[in-house]
Amino acid sequence: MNTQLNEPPLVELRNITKCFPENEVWANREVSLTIRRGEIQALVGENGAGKSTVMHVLAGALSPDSGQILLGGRETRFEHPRDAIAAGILMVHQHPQFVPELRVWENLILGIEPRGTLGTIDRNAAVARITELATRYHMPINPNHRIEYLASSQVHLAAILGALLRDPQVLILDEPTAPCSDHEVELLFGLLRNLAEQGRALILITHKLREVFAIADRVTVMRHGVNVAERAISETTISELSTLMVGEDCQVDSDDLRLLHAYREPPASNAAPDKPAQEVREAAPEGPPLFSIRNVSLYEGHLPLLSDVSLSVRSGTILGITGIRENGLEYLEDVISGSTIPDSGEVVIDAKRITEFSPRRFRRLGIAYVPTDRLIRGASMDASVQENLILLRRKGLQRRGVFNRKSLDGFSDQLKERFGISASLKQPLRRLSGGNIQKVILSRELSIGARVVIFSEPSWGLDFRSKQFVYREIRRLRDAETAIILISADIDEILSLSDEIAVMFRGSVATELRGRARTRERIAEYMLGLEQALDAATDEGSP
Amino acid sequence: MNRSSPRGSLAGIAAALVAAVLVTIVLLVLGSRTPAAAIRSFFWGPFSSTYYFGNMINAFTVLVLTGLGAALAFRAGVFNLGGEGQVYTAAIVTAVAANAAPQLTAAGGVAFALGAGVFAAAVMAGLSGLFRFLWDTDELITSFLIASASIPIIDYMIVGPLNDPASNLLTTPRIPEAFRLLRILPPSRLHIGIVVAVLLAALVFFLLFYTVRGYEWRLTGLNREFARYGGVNTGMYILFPMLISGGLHGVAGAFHVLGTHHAALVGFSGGLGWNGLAVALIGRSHPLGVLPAALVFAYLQTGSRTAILHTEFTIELATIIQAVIFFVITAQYLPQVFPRAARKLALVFGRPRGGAAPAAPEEDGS
Amino acid sequence: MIANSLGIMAPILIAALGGLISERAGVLNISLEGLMLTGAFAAVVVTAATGSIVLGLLTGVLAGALLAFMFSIISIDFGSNIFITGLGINLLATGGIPFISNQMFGTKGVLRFADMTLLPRVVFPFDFRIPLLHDLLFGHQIGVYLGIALTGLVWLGLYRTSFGLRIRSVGANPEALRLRGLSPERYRRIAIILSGIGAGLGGGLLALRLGVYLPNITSGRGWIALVAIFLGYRRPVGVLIAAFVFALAETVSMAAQGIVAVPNTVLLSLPYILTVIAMVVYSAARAGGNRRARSPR
Repeated sequence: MNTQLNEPPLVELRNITKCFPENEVWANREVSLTIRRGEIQALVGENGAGKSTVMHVLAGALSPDSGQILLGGRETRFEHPRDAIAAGILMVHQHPQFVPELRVWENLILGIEPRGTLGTIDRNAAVARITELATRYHMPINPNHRIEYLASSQVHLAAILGALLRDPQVLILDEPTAPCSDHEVELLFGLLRNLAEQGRALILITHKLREVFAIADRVTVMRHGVNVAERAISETTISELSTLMVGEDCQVDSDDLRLLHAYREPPASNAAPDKPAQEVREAAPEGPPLFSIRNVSLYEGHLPLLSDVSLSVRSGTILGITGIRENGLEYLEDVISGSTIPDSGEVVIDAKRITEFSPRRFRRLGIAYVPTDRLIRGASMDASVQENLILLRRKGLQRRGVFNRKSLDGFSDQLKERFGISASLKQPLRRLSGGNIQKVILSRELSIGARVVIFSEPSWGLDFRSKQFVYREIRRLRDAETAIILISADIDEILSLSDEIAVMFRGSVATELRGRARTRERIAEYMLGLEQALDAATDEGSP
Repeated sequence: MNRSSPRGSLAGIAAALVAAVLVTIVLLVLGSRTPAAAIRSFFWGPFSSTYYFGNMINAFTVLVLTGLGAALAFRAGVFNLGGEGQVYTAAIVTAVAANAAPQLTAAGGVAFALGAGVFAAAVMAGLSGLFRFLWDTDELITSFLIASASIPIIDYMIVGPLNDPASNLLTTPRIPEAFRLLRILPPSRLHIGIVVAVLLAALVFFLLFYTVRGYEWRLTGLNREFARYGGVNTGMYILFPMLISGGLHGVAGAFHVLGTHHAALVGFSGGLGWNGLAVALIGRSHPLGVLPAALVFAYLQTGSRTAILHTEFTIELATIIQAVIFFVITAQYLPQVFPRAARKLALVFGRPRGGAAPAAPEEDGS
Repeated sequence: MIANSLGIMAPILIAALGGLISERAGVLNISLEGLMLTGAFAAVVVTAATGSIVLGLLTGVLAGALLAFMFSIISIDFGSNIFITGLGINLLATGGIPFISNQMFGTKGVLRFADMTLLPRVVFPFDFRIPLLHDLLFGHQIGVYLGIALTGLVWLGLYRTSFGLRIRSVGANPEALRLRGLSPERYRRIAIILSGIGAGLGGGLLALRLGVYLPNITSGRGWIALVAIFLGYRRPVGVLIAAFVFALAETVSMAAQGIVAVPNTVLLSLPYILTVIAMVVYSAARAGGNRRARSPR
């Protein structure tokens, strides 16, 4: 967009330095950034590069050890988020802070409540204002819903809406697209462009270079707490940015690049969609399915959450399940992990019909499960790394109920080494980076030699290296004849890893695709329900 | 494994202790006409005779048991607020059981009476656990209510049908001599129950941190959902912690009868439950942290008692001192509230402490 | 019987409403008992000294608020464990009141003053003669009307004002407040002080109903108020019902004295037993109702 060179930048960060003594690393070292009106700036870097830290400083949530913040050329200090908000700087966090049991409108107006008669909240004014904004920016948000019932992509949209209510001059978005499907990303990007045209400054923290090229005007790359480069988007390439992000020493394979950044070559080359297909097996292996669900339905009252879902997976194959969130993926995850009892239908594991639904029972049957919800379901943040690692093998590391310290430490060290977890065993998990936490969860789940492994959104919020690692592990398991269920809203991830793909739409399986039939475009069409009418006519789509 | 050590921050604990001692001295000076004698009596009293020293250790015994009981429940993420009633119930049941079977051998009688008392207290607490397990009834409230209901009934029984007509105290008849626990350090009331209490603390430590069950127990307390997904039978870790917590309170009540008083005294358990919770919290719910916390507590109690007996010091002042110690003993930010004091302390202990630095934000990925 | 229950209910209800606000702000205030005791003492002393019920009650409120302010400093600024701080406040009240009483009046025991003004019964300018309804609506002491009015006020405050929204939010997620530029500590502190005001008023009403101060005059009512908060599912109207249920149980047990051949002391436990039963039955019915409840996401 147009940058007025004669006008001072909206905000300028100069030499921001921040150190967390407990981590003994520089989170930020002399980071300088310039934020201009009407510009969308991307901030990229691996986990731990210091992107969030510098943005927390800008949003007043952290105070820097040294450095300056200049507002319209004048130096200022942010002691508290309220100072930044007063200056028109708002941040939408990666995990937006809401009060789950309150309604959307209550959460959004918290702190800027419109007053009505006798000092009470003017609810109508609040709802009307939110509805108006939501309509203007095409956000499918109902202000009267409770936050706890929203899908995570909607929670993000609601958080952005909350920021817009405060009319920000600078809007910082931390990984806003992580929980979004392609469709939702398009919606969000439209909104961002609209906001930039209004003269607001936008900063986008992201891992996905595809998004950077799709939306940003300028990109800043951070590595190890330092900003290593700043480029206009027209003057850089994806490989340059990748190299800048990971450093010269790390080899970047071009296939991995395409996958990891979900980057598609321009249509002219036409190589990208076909490439992953060659890696996977064309024909499904023989043999009976190891894990299957048959005609599973689930209702909330009379509302169907899942209707008549049948899926199965054989050993040595990866079944990818995709769809836009809110189309039943999360309920399906609950059923196949044993946490929800379906209202009808059955689950068959290893030719045995399951009658008792509990995570405990499913564990006993040798099912490993990497859940979407890592912080609560997948790990205990207050327990140590070791305590998180040994959970599934606790019975094998003891004699007469007492842990054998040698085998305990041996086992944990082995996992730590094999999965490259960079943390001490005694550290509480809370201290670890997102990538390391996911590695702890993965290594634990893979430590039982499970015959069936469920992965749900295994790469959410992970950076380049961690993602690469996760994908390699999934492929390795497949080659070791494990049956794998991969639930993901990320089409590229699904395309490159799965042998068979099931697309969910409104609680049922819209189609199952294998082999050549699996193209990005087809999947996207089924996800949006566009293929519903044509379904009967197509030969590849099998119900 | 993470033993979440009770060490905490040295400067913080030192600041709390110094503050506690200072406040105590100020109150002793203000509240007494003979401040020097009161201070001497308060701080030195517990060590001045075998009697006081023994009684201090005996108070320690009770606090260790109730503190362990509370801590074990905390560790599993459940709350037992009925400690007081459980101690009292165990005492009366133990007294009745001991008097009902005088023909038993010494060992048999002790085992029977102790077992009956512990069983009663465990069932009482376990009931709250059961309600929570079955219907998700808040165990924090039911344990408190059930205990509160039991107290007037036991009061009545000790004053009425179970009263000892030979005594002019409000107490049950004394238990047969054969069943009385061996006394250490006479004339104090200290008995061999101390050994049991310390061994139990060691046992709880071992069970919590070295066994599979203990691991499951703690993991359930830290994150019930995660434990459930790991295949832990989390329902059991509602029921058993309550049962065992009640049982430990029961041991405290039974020891009161078998070792300390040889009868159940009316109202003796007043405050014991709360003190147990306080000891557990001060000891960071760690079985080995409970020991020093109980010791400090017992020392203060005995110090107050000697000061009251020997000087103008009053029970009210003792209560106020205990209150102030409660205020500072778990304080995290004292070093910041009194920065100068903290700086001096840091010089003394050679270990400056930043205190509660704002938590580092989650760096990028979740 | 209902009239009597309402009289017993009023102090518990008012203390519980205050405690409800701090509970919603995420502070479990277990010092209601001590705060009530302080309010009772202050109210009796000042009423006796000035002859003014209003001044007496106001002093009770002030005393509760001051002690609660201290609670907030210790728990928020010193960072002490909230539970232990609450226990400490209770101890401070049980130790401090006899201490002050002894300094002022030379006794640690019962404080009985000549010409003590008692709480007036409210006289309405109109009345009807329908027996049951008459008993239900009229002739109560001022506390009953005050309690019911305050229930409405607390409901309005919690659910219809921005202050209430912030209180409810700080209890559920303090970080949500902080990131919106508000101070969680500030709202917590106000909520704690409000709980002191409620408990101080409740204690004052309790003592002025009797016209004397007795050691341990509250006899566990602060604890019951705390239970009522949870029994009432942390909602003002629920708290009203819970406080009434408890008061009714107490009235029943008092009425049972002399009729049933059960000793008076044992009857003291009846309110607790009835409350437990009510609670267990309610939760069992609820659990039965949604047996297939799914874990919320």
